Amino acid sequence: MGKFKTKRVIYVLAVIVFVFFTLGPIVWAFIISVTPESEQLASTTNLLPSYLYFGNYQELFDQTSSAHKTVFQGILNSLKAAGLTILIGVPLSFITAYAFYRFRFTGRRFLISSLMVTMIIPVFATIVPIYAIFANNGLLDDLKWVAVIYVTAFLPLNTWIMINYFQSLPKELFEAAQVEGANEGRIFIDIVLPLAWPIILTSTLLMFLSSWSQYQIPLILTSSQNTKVVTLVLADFMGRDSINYGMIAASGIITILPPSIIAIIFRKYLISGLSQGSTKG
Amino acid sequence: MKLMKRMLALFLGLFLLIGLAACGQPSTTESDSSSEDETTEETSDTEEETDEASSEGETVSFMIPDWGAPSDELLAEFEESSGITVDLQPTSWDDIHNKVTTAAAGGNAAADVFEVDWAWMGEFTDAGWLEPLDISQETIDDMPTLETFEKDGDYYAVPYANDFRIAFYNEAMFDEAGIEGFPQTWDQLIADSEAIKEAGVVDYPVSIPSGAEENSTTTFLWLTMTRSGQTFNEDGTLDEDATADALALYEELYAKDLVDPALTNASGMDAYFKITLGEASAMIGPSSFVNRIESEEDSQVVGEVQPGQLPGIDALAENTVPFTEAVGVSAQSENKEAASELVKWYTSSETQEKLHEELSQNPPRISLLEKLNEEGKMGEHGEVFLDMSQRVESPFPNGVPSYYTQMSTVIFNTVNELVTGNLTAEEATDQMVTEVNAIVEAEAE
Repeated sequence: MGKFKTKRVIYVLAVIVFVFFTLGPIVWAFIISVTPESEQLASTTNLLPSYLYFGNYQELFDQTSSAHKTVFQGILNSLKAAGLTILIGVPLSFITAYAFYRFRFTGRRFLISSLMVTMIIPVFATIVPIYAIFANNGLLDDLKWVAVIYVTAFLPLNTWIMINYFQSLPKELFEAAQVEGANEGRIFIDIVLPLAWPIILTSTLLMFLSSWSQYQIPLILTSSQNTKVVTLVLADFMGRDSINYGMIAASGIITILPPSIIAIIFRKYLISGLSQGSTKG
Repeated sequence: MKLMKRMLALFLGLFLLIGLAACGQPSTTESDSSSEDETTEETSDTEEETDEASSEGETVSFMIPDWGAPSDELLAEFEESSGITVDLQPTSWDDIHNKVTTAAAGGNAAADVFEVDWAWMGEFTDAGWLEPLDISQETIDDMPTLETFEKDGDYYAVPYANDFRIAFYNEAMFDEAGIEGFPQTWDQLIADSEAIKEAGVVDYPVSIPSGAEENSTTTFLWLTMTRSGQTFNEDGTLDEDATADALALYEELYAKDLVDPALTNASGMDAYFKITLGEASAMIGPSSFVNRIESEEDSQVVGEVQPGQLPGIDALAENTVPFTEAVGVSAQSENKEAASELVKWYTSSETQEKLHEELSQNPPRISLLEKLNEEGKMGEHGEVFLDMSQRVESPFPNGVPSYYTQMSTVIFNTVNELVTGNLTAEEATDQMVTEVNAIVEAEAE
């Protein structure tokens, strides 16, 4: 009983520490966003403002303000980039993973390993040649091509997760289908696709969340206000010798809402998709 | 389960739509100069004799922070008169450096015309990323801050915004402590600050950047320049006496508890804002605070703070240090002629006057400052601003070095170690001089 209690206390403490470090910055950002500017830099030990100031949110939701245009254009651009990434990336990683799982061919292991190795190459190592290719071919400042680079960055992880998922499916399923006379196309469409929707959802979520938080790639490859994603527009609230902390915090709170809502609704699939196949294959 | 499948379908459908919509959207701008088909002849153009016809019909990309971005109306005037189309790319200051360096490393121009901060000058010119500009003698004489962007007789960028250091004193706090007049020397400033602290007017009368970040380096630069008249020796090494003097002053301010210890772990901007928050009686900071101290939006002590010359050792310092922003033309630009025209227009007296009206930007041209001041458009402290803008002196005898960032890191880290008590002023001097000089010598080899 004592041992159980100790475990329980450690568990609760660990959760508290985890929640403190993960939610703490968000709560802090919210407090800053509702703190009047005059109190933001004041030397005080008060954690909370003397009164709640919603001026930053009012300005953000005022359709005539430049802050509204900047932030909501950024959110729209981020959604477009994420949508395109999912559109290209999910089918591509699904087909790639299926091919690696189903077919045995020369160089298969080498190709899988090569794909996985690209996960550890930092973006800084490739951004200069990518920029040169984009510049020389007139691809800059276009979200379509930015999404293509996102896909190349996210493809290895998503493919790996999907391979693991396929490995968790019972082999008997495929054997039974073959005995019934189904060809590879029918197996893929009638058996694999209906079974794979949880992993497709997981992959979609991962691609959405990953593309939403991109900074360096769109920074280098986009330039106009019409293509700036939300992670870039927050820097617009930093002046030459002033930083609009309240507006940055309020914008930050608004921009984390879309991924947070999606992650909360589909969290079950995010977790199950990532852990699927972890004990098998 | 059915509900979840429906949500999945909705979710995927939504992204399909957004994705397709984004695919259908044409590229909004032609930002990349290298993708332009048109090229211009690389003929030299003087500031006075520009062949406008050869640039007509070209598009020039212009990357500048928000605070320097001209309005659409102002740009339209230029486009109409020159026939050059401007693709304005408002970009945050930090991001400009990233974009320029990444593009240039790949042999491309991030933009035809872009912001050149004084601190980037050495790095950009040594790498050959900036095109030399033809500047008239009149402009050279009219812009003291242009000196920062000169190297081996060539000018690589033209300032568009004036920034230098000015002293700010809270008159009400001085009055409350029974002190008449503002200090002329640092000894007097320290004595006054002790009196203000003793009178209980404010806990920490002096506000000075002390964190491990760039503003501590700029503070070190103006401290050495205004107290000792130099920061570096002719060979680029750090002047040991000037360094020791500046660091001893830092040590004294902290030893006497005149500076908020929280500033050792805060940004330089936090230090500057203490004057507008009414939490300090003395601060030496950016010249833009001349406007800020009188702004109801920015200051809680409107009408209480006075700007002035920086204190020196025996009397008021005769000089101050500029930290100017400029615009330059990319060496990789394929529209150099048109880009130069844009720079010429953007930094002209007429445009700068309009930018002052639009963006409250303080112009770098002395003649324009005089005009604006005469017309009463420089605000309450225009006279001080005008006077100080003619006292600027660059701390770099051979121009901003290419290793500035590396050197700056050593300087601000050492200052921070000193104010946090990890080093004495003597130890900090030894450390800073040794490390900076090692960088200079390594570069010389």
